[in-house]
Amino acid sequence: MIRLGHILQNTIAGIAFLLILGPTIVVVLVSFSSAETFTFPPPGLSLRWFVEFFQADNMTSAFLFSMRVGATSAVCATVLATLAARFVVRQRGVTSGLLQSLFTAPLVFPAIILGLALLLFYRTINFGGPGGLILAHVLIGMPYAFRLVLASLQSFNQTLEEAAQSLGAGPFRTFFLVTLPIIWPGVLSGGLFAFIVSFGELNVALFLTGPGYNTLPIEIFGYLQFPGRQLIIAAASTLQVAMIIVLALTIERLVGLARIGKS
Amino acid sequence: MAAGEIDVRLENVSKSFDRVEAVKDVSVDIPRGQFFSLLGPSGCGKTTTLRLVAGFEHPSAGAIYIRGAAVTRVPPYRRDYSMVFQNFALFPHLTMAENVAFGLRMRRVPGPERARRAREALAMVKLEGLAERYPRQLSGGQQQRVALARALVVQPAVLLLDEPLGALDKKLREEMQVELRELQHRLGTTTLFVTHDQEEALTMSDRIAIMRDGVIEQIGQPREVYERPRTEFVASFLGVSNFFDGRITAAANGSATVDLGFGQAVLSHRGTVGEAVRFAVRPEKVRLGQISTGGFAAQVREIVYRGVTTHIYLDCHGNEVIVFLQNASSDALAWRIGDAVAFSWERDSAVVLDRG
Ligand SMILES: Nc1ncnc2c1ncn2[C@@H]1O[C@H](COP(=O)(O)OP(=O)(O)OP(=O)(O)O)[C@@H](O)[C@H]1O
Ligand SMILES: [Mg+2]
Repeated sequence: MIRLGHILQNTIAGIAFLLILGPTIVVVLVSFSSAETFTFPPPGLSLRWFVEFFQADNMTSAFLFSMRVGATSAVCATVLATLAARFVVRQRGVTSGLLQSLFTAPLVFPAIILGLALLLFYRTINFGGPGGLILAHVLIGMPYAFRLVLASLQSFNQTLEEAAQSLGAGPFRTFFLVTLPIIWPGVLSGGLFAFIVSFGELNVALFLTGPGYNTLPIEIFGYLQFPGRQLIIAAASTLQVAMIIVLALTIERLVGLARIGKS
Repeated sequence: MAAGEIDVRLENVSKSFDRVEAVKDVSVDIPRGQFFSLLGPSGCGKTTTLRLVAGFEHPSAGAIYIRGAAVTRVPPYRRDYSMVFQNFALFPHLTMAENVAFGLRMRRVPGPERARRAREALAMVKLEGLAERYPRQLSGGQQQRVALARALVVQPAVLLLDEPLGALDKKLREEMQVELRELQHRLGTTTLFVTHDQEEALTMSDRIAIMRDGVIEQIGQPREVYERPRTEFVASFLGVSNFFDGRITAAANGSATVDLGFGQAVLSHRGTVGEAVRFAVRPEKVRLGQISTGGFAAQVREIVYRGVTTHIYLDCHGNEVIVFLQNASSDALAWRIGDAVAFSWERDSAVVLDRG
């Protein structure tokens, strides 16, 4: 009986994984196809679509622009998230809970509405361009970074900060010599997470990008509307997936590190 | 004593959190070099008092001085003290040597001198061999010593200790008590020590303040507070006491005769006839004898052998009286449960308590 239950459980888990990962796996496999159009399974393997990707100026510039937006917004989001998290852990009871919901509220806010709202807002204050997009991505990435930094601060022994102060360290030195060296895995994870979110973000970018500053998802989205050379999208997606996997593994490692550091 | 020699002064300090008044109108002077203990049960406000001196809490009223400087509004990192925390609070990402050198680094002591002083401080607590280890690689006792070295190396005006031995087992704790006391004597560092362990306070302190519900009930040398407790709380928190109630029937020349209901006792006390008094007698000051020797009659209810002493519980007309007898000879062991006995004490052993 136990064996049967086991098999059933594993089968269900397998199906779930397949449902989640299946489409991604198909896209990744197809990106190595030698065919001209989408066929599955691919008739042969080649790297031609990757070559084409790197030869397509609009794709590479979108890729680089996405990297820049991701990096900049992730750094800003992490700095803000760290400040916010430091403030929140110092609060007690109701205030703490309230502030936490406040800082994570953008998570549940529909991105498409945020995009539209920001577009209208930027129009009225006459702002926009890459800066506008970066600011939007800071807003979107901050809740993720906030969660991760908050988690690492919550397991951080606050007495250490008092110990540093009792030895003559002001707030600045206390943070950079004691707090940050201990919670950095959480902070870095938060930053990487914010980067991933920004890198794959489409909804808000739809409103806030423009000619000369398109992100990779926007460029991919654009390609979908034209026939031909469609598999270049698969190559772009594969690159994106590869990057996310590397970052996710890094975060995983860091979170493990944070746990070891605590003991 | 000159005013300049007071290292820590609390002037009518109070502190309330939302609804709790944790510290109420506390005034304390700690002269240079003194080992001063705050003793009291859990929740009486000891830690809060210490944190007020450290600057981690701000008083609702009153003023705090360290070495004569008003620090009430000064942030913790600009106050001249250092502290040993209950759970040591060593920096986990720094080696022992770096932990100890941290305070010197904050004071911008140049590198070579810093290294030398950190080494000396580690040697002082007998841990020179562990300089390159990390906190998690050390035992509790070793961490405790490093925490002490880290606090002392900066030569603070005052050393604050919040139950620093609480996390250690009994044997190690007793060793550390002696070690800490020796070190403090040698360095002459003014020390404010918080504990709820009365034996620890008696062992280590030059002076003890006994706290209860945010109020200091009595301050004095260990012997003074033990032998002359002013309140029932002090008499029962610090050691064990027998309490007696009575009414004064005659008073003259600083002595009073008190009717206890089961007999008459004479106390050194300036009172008036008719006044109700309550007094305490330490169990080790009670003498026990045969009925024929005179004293209050009682019956032996229970005998507990404790190695160094034997505790004898008497029933005296419904009142319980505890007697501690030294096991110096086998006299103490001669009593049997049910024996009729007489007990008494020297007149000065009875301490009249404040009516609170
Ligand atoms: N930050 C705080 N917020 C609210 N109440 C507090 C705070 N700190 C302490 N208290 C309250 O103040 C009172 C005194 O606390 P304190 O920690 O000073 O006691 P303590 O004598 O050190 O006790 P223990 O021996 O258990 O450590 C307690 O009733 C406690 O609940
Ligand atoms: Mg305490």
